[in-house]
Amino acid sequence: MGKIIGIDLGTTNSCVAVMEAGRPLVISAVDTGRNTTPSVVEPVKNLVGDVGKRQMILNSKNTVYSAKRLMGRRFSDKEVKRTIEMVPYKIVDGKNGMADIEIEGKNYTPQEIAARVLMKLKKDAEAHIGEKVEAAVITVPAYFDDAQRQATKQAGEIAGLKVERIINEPTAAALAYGMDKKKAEKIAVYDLGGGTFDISVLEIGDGVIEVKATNGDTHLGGDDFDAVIVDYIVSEFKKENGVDLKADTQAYQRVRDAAEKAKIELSAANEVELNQPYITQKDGQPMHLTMKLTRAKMEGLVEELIQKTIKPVESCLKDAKLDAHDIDEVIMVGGMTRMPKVVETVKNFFGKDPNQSVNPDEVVAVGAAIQGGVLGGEVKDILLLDVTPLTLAIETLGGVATPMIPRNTTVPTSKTEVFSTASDNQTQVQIVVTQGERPMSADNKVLGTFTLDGIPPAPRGVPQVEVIFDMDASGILTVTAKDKATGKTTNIKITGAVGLSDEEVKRMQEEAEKHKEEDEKKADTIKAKNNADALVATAEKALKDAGDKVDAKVKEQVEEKVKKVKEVAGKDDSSTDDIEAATKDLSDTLSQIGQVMYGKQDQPKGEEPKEEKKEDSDKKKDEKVEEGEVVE
Amino acid sequence: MAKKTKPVGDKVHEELETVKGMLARALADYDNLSKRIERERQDLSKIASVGLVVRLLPVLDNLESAQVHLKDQGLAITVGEFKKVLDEEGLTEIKPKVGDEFNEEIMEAIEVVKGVSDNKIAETVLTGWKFTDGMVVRHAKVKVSNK
Repeated sequence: MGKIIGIDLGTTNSCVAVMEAGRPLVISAVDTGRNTTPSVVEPVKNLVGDVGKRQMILNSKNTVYSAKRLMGRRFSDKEVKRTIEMVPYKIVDGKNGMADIEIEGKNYTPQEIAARVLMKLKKDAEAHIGEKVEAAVITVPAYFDDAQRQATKQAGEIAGLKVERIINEPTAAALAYGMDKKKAEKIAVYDLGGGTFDISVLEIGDGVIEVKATNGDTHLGGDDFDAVIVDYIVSEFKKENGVDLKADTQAYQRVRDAAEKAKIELSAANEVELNQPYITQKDGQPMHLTMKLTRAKMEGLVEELIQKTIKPVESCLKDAKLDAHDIDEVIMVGGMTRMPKVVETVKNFFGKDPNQSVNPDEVVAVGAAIQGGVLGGEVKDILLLDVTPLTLAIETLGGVATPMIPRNTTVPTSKTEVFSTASDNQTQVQIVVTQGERPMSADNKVLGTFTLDGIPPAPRGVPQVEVIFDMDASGILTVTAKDKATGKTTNIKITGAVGLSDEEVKRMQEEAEKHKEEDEKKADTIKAKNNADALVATAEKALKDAGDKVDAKVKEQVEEKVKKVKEVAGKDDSSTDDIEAATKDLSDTLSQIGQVMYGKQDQPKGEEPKEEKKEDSDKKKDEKVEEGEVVE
Repeated sequence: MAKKTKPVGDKVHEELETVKGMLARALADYDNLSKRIERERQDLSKIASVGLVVRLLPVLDNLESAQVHLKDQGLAITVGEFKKVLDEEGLTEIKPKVGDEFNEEIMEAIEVVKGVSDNKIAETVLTGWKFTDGMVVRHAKVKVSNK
């Protein structure tokens, strides 16, 4: 069976999403690259979406928008009458008294118009998925009656889509937030879109979502907000310069674009500067629009509009026989809910922070796609891939937790890395597996420990121990250590590496965040110490190998520097900088031996490949054998 | 015995089919994802420049407006250099001429004015820009005449 797409068929904009690899993905329009498509249709030339919008003013009688307001309604309906006054295209009394649209003498039902939008979304989805799409879940407002739902379903069928289900927009939003998995909750969905406002109260129990009450204002949305801001800019400019920007189409267009941009920017910034040089002319002189708009000012302008949403919310709660504090969760839908003032107003009313982590323009389509996934059998527990909640690491020299599988990795997964020994003739290594975000092993949770022995005696850094972390789909971690020389292998199976409770994961992440700075400092110091120790070992070996070939003076110098490095690195309170400086000093002096002995192109014989050098040491091995054994 | 084992076999068979289906789906998803990433990678450099270009174009517009008033030679050179950079990025201007037919693919109508014929460009108020291969970065804003 093919994919079932989810479609949010909106009054102003529409959006389509699909489940991909168990996750909802919003599909961008092929022509614009944007995730939403204007619900605008010119049926004669079949211009749908942005392209239809661009010729709207020129072809206003033939360009249909807000067709959703007519869907499944009778011509005598109050809402239809209101729409007739609002739109430039002709709405007529159609078959069986239903509202139709007449264009160039031909009647179109609202379903046919909506079908054009659906067809475009279907095409975009097919281009994205790479296969034919034949089925969809389409959303409708919770207040839609049977006739309106039926009409929406017909629109889907006209578009060549089998409508697997019509679901309520607030229900889809709740699905997108995974609310269906909650036990028993009461949810409010606050949906402030481009042209309409809807508020719904849902009750969830046993995976069933029920709309308890719904209310709203069919003529309140982002467009009203834009208009208020544009009016303010125009009137300010007039006050200052005596020129009406509304009279100049081009200037007015620029103000509208600038106002929309300012509105969006003021969601993040506290003040924006509107700069539109050469916006118009007065007596042959160019005039510039330069204006500062603060968030406070803008909020003052739109305050009344925001307050207008509260009354429907109160009525809705009353119908649901609930108080504001009975609501467990509030979900925000629609682009306008990005405005901080809207969020604040909603928060104050309900006394809790609203959910807004899912993109409010896309959340309904995402929920529809999830429903489609469930119906298509794609969303099943068995398919849900788990992720590692915390980083899985191995302890290396100096107690450093060296990450093997980073957190948020999708399982099953596997990672192999080769480590070596920290001291000469070391015959066994101890593998310590830890879990957590802190850079030091001691601060993380130890999941398991095991020993690989029987490594043939060899100088430090020579043996190669391959460590494999393998986590299967059910979260069972197998850690295997293998001596590459002998092929000797040991392993450990750890269960429960995924299965932490949410609280546990959260606590550990918070802890890591809290200690981030000091931890990093600590890790840096250890790294510096390890580097210092490695160089000391190299230097001592070089001195021994060089014997009499090196000038006694140089030798003495090196010995002195070695002593210095040991001293600095050995002290607990030495700073990273001090250690690094001493190490560098030694390294510079040491190169003299190399030059004397092997000529410029050769490295000192004792120096190991870079990887091992980094962590090599024998400095601390005497006191902390376990931690010093496995080195990168 | 046979009666007893059959339902179990059926169940296993059923589960196997389900899992097979899921595997096929996952593989298909992966395959399509790979293809899409390849496609998107090719477009990536273009997409990356679009975002920047869209923000820079209004600045160019202002420079050009300034030039209309100032008629400064230095500014003329600057505007020329600016356009040269866009040209090197594969961008060309959409500059409909008066009397051209309106084309919603590359233009946006912002006003309708009275004229002698329908759907003809009366004035280009804002130059558009597109990539040479056709992708429109900004639609030209035009006034269109209608009888």
